[in-house]
Amino acid sequence: MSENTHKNPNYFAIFAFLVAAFIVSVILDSMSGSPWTIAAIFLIAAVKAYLVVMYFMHLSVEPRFLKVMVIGLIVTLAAFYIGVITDMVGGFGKVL
Amino acid sequence: MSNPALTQPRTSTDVPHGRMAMWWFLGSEVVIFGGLIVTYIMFRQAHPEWAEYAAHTMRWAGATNTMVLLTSSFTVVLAHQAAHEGNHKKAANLLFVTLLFAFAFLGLKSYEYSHEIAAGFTPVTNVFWSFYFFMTALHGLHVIAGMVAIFIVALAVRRGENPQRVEYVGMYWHLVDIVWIFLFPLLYLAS
Repeated sequence: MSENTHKNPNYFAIFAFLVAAFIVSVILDSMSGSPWTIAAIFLIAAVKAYLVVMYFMHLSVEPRFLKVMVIGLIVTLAAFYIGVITDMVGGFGKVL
Repeated sequence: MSNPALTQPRTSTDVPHGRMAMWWFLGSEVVIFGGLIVTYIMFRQAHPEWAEYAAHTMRWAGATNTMVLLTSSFTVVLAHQAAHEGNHKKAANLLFVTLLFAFAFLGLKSYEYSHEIAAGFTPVTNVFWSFYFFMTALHGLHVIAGMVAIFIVALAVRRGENPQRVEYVGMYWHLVDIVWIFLFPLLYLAS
């Protein structure tokens, strides 16, 4: 939020979307425990986190270097996961 | 009565010092919680039987607390908007409402803990429950720290002092919400 003249987003609409997404994830969980359902639940969680960071924390109007810093953190965590999980995978792709 | 050093943009970055410091601080928090969450995911992949343990968590309580934190994120962003518009009294009141949600969150979490411990699930039961108690307790400590900060800022803003801090304390509170957004499906759903 480098400038104080930016137009505020519609906070209520974002909040309503977050609540709707939360309800969908709970319904999905009660319907099935398949890997696709679990993936969908975590995708919804990621979308919710994205909306909070971008619009409630106003990262969308921050300078680019701050966005790069946040992306860098996510990439670091992904690298940590990929680096360790490949050590944990045994025969037939089973995690040890 | 705000400190110009905190509210004026840095010439090099165009971001006020206070907000810049908050982003760096939140970055370190992401590393702490992110590291824990990624480690938990790897353990969970290696131990499919943890789904059975996760089924013993109180899903309705976790879901209610998710709603409580989402709503508190909404009230704190409205507080920021009010402070930005110069309506300090409204900003302080919205921060106090946020505090009520935080109390509700902790109350429900305490209820959950008491039932789980009474049912024999403690931090030493197995690695799943160790993760469960450690991650939720660490998150709970962050909630308590946020409550203290919100209370101090609310009192000051009501007097018209340091309104820019509403945004900073709000950023912290949103991070607490984001962490829970991931803890809820990891610990309560996907079982």
